[in-house]
Amino acid sequence: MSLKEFQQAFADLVANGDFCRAVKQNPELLDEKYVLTSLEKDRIIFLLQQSRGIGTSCMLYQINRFTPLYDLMPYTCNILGERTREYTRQFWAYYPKSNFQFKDEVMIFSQFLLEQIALGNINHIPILESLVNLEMAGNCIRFAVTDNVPSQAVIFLESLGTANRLLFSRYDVVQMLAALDQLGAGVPVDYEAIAAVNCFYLVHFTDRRFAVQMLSDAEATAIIEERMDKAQLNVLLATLV
Amino acid sequence: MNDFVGVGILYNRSLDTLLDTVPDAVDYIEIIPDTWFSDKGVGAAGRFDMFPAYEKRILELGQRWPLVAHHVGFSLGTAGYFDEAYLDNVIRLQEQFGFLWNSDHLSYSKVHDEEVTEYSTCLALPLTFDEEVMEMLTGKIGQIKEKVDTPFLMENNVYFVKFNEEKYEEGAFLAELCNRSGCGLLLDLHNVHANATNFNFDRKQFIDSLDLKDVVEIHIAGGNVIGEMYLDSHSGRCNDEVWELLDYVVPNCPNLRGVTFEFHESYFNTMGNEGILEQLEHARAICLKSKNIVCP
Repeated sequence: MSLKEFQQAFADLVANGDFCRAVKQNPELLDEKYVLTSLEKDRIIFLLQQSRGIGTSCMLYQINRFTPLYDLMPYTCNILGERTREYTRQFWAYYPKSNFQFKDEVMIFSQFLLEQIALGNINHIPILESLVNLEMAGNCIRFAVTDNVPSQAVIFLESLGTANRLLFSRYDVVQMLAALDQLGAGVPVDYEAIAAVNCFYLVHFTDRRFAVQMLSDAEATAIIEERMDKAQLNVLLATLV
Repeated sequence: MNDFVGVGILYNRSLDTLLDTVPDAVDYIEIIPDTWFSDKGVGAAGRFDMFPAYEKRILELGQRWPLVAHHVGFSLGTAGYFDEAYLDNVIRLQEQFGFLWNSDHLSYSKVHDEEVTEYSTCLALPLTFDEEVMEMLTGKIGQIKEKVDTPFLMENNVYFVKFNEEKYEEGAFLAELCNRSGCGLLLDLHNVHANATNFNFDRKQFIDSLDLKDVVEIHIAGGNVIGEMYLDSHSGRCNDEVWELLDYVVPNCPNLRGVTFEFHESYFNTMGNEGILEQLEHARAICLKSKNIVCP
């Protein structure tokens, strides 16, 4: 049991620079959380004295944990900009025990951001909710997620096939994507120029690219209620490819 | 059985054009199976799920080149934990793709507690070179070797902190682990270079501390300094020190079967296809000084 606790203590330290500093100042904190032999406790103290090494390990933890978020939600991370670090740190406190599956990490990060938006804790980016939902739709397609999606705005229907989703968006998706591509080139997003639409889109995602088709209310309702003629639906889906 | 297969490459998607146009550039392909399937988590029904397109691609690669598997998910160093379902999946993959050998790392990347069956450490953390760890690894490798009918190799790890009062030096630990468990050694020369750079020890003295009869595969790669330490970032071309080590070690590894060049896909543009070919040709030229390549 002791080796297990030693490994856990080491992993916890690498995941949390604040914890490293606290234990370095007061090694007795280790006794509150772990059952360690005196040698194991000495070893933790010894490795905390290796500031370059423990600092590098903490940095790699953060890089390795952030990279999949950036890779799978690039638009969201870009628009959060300098505050991405702040929100990812909050997310890691919210969900400290990351697993190996990027799918879970990205879905839970999306859920976390949507909760923060709903609570009013993130309110400086008007299009953020729509953007998170859009990238969630892309990740649902990427990872073949059809149920337990942490947003009602992303809908899977058998009739659409696994490579497409129905998405409800408060903002015009085409304008959002254009603005975010410009942001990648250093042009700030003009939120006023992105139309509020409150409508459904068909979303297709492949090779890291979105294709979207805005739907009328009647079209969206017919698709959701599975009343749309198959030929008509195929015409709509063909516009995405 | 123990013929030298040649020079291989760790597959990533940026290699497709090179492999299509210059298939003889590599003698085998190494894949990391974990990047090709989704893992729904411990205890989940149908836990390991490979996308059909991925499966098709591995089969395509396997028709043209011998394949070897480099796993990252066993986390054999995790105390009090052995993922039998993961092993079952490795057995299934072995049956399907016929890897020449399987390998994983001398480290731990998962921990577990009362709340969750496993969670990720987000980087491979080093093990203490003690008897307790030796016995644990020997037992787990034994379980794998009982069920997977290929050589199983353990890769020496990169580390950024050292532990005090260990029973073994790293080289002696690796030699004893191979001796007791029957595993082979995947000698990552770039990890040796990184550790020697960060902890200021002599690379060749370290190599001499190993039992080179254990070495079945060698990894070569590039890296870079980020912050205050040299990292195993697989950032393109191999360093001169790695080439020098390869030249030093290959003639002394009687059971060596392959030398694998690793680079991270995001560094493809730093080399391009020409640069990758140069690395492969350089490695092959070193190997051919003392080895004959035999197609399996």
